[in-house]
Amino acid sequence: MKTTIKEWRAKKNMTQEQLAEKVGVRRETIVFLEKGKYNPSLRLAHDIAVVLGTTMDELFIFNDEDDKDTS
Amino acid sequence: MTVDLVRARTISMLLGGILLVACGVLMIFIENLDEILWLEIMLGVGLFGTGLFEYLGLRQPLKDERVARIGTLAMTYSWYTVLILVISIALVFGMGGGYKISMPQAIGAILIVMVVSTFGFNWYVGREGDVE
Repeated sequence: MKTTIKEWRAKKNMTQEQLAEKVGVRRETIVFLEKGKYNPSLRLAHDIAVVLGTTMDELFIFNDEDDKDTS
Repeated sequence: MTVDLVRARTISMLLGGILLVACGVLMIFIENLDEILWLEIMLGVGLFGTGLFEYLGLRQPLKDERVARIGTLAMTYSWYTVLILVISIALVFGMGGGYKISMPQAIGAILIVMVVSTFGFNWYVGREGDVE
């Protein structure tokens, strides 16, 4: 899984700490999310999308291998 | 405020964990479980348990789904490790073997393994970032 959270966060001129505070998680969680190492819950993904003013589709990109794993 | 609470939780768990391990070591070597040691164990369990409760994200504002997920998995592995230890102690020392251990020694070993495995598994899974 790849994410565009870092790019959207830069567009909003927001730090990891600020984003973490707005969605109610720790900064480390945002760090792992941006690295694509953490699969968030639907609720967290939705909250991040709302805060960054985008959609979940834009934020999270799954490659073919990931799609096979979830099918 | 949130950062202070997170630090308080971490300090609580660490202090409780250190106290429990220290009690465990004492119990193994002195084979005693007097009232003072019991009080120390209760204090350790209180500090460790309170910190753990916060850690698993059951209370706001410390709730963090990733930390809760990792903590839950670490606790599951830790519980399983302690179960294996208890079964091993029962099999090795309770089946008429040559060497016997006392009740304080068994509890001491369980305390040490419980705390060390909780921190150990939590550190290991947390390093990966997710439970998958």
